Amino acid sequence: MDFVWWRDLPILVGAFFVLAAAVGVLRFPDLYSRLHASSKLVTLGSAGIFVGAMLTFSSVEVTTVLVAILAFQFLTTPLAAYMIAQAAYRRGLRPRLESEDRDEWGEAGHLNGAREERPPGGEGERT
Amino acid sequence: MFALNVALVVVTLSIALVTYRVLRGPTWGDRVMAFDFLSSNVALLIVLVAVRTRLDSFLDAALVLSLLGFLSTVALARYLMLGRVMR
Repeated sequence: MDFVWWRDLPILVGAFFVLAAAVGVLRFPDLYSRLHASSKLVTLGSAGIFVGAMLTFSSVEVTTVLVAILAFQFLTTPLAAYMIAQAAYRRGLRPRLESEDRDEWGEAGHLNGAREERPPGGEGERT
Repeated sequence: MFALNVALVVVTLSIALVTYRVLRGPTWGDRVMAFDFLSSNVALLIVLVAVRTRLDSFLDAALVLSLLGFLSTVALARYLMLGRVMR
């Protein structure tokens, strides 16, 4: 097992961030939060993997191509996320706000029948 | 080589997880977003294969794939927003 830390550690860190992005895309409740997870974490993960690839090859040609791909990804991934968010917002998809979230403690059976009570601090407090 | 195998398995697992979001995604924005994620992830997978096999010809494939992924994402987002891609 030939683990050379200065070239394998960036690859492992990048792979961890890519997996975190996949879990975020799978489990976040909203399109906008999923876009947040996808764009930022994929950018960071690809940066890690590309830096590891540059250090492994350590030649000028490969570094040139990888720097080109990395600069392109850094420029275009937030732009693509912005365009998707703008398109979804103009199509009428509302972002999911915190006050609309489910009442998990009430649904677990502690407050049977008191489901329609709004928590304090929501709308309707001041006239 | 061990770290490369771990990274290949992890990136492939994330591709498999996001394919679920492509297939299920409640809105079309989710599908476009997951498709963009898939294209950049396949580019990462190609880079990892290039590092593992020490063949730097794969990197051109990664470059072309990231370019095409961005272009198709912009086209899909424009179609989603305007109903047409170009005027």
